[in-house]
Amino acid sequence: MSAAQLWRRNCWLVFEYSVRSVFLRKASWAGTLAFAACLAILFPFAFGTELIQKAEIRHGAFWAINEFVVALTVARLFTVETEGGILEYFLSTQVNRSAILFGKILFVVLYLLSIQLPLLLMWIVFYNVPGNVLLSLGSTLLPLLVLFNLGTGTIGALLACVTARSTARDILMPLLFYPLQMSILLAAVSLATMSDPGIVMLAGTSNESWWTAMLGVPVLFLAVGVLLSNVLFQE
Amino acid sequence: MSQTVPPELLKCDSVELRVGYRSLIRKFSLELHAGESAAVVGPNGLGKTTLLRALCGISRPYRGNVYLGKAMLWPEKSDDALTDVCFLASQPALFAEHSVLSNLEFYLRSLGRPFDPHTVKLALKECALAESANQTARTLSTGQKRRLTLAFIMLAQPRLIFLDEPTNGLDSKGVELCLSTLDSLRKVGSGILVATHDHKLMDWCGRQIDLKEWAP
Repeated sequence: MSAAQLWRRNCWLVFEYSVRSVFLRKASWAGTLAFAACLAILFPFAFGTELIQKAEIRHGAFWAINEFVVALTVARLFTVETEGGILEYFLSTQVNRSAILFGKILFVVLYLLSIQLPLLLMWIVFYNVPGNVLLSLGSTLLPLLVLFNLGTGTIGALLACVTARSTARDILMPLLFYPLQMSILLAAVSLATMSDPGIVMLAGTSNESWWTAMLGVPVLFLAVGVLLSNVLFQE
Repeated sequence: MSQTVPPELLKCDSVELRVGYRSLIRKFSLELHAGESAAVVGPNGLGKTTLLRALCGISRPYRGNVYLGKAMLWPEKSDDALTDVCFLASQPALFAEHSVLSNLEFYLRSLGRPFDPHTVKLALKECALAESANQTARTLSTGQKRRLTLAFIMLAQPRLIFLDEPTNGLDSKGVELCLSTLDSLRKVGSGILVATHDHKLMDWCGRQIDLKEWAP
């Protein structure tokens, strides 16, 4: 078997078993969705019905809930593998570390999306998103979510690899993750807000620069992941 | 008539292992060929498990070179290092929520082996796990978990196997099964390195490596 085939096989194995583990431990997926739903219901109460009609608040609330979902997902990315000792076994088979990283990134992107899609429906209903906004958001929001997940998943998986076998991971993960992920979050919020016809953005803000950030961050961190793949998971 | 030397599966020289600033082992060297087995022995805390983990690439030794096959593993990992290797820890590594079959499938696929339900069933039967095939791994006893890993190496026949206390939690029949499995693997040319306190296993290995000799 060639190195590329071996890499693809291991990448798929990591992805497949991550998905299968979610199906077997449905509680974590359902729990995250329930948590996101609670936030989606609570925010209108917190802001009041009048304020929630403001486009900035509406979009801010959606991405704030997303950020909670991301935090819950990324923090537990390697829990199943480390708790059961599977990660150590897998490393001993001389698996290419970048295959584990890519498998997990693929998993995070789809896992987040599986929560974000029902969340999006709740957001439309609870925040009374007008039809004309939905139409203009339609072409932006889905690619935005995929890119947001890709950027977040790349940074999250990379840091989760580094901290997977560290006893300080509960402190290290948020400390390292949020500053790095901030650019993705800002870009996602800005682009979503810009596509809302009810909002007039400040002069000097351009779509292009935010899209560059959305695309550039995953590319940058994927490259870092590949370059550092041999030291990932190092004790 | 000259005898052909079996291929070298593992080689290390001048390996030093440290825990914090304290050296556990110094200038450790070893060669293991296909069809050979060796037992790493010594009192608790001397570094048997640490050594096995370093030799199979999980953790980095402080100093020294390690080769898997002909390719370097430490200090710089070569792309063509032997990949048909596995380390079975003292606590069997499992996906706790997955079934016995699902775990076995993962093990086999991780080494690129096919998952053939018929041969898998036979192996499970031999390991007295046939009735637990669909049971969640979390609910297995320690001995059953160990038997599951035995079923895996029986099916996969990795070229190089590192085992940490493989007879822990096994009853007398289980120990016999472990020895016969390892015996058949050695016959097909697998290299086996075991960390153990079990005298039966030490005797089976033949070659014993007492880590006290390399302690500082």
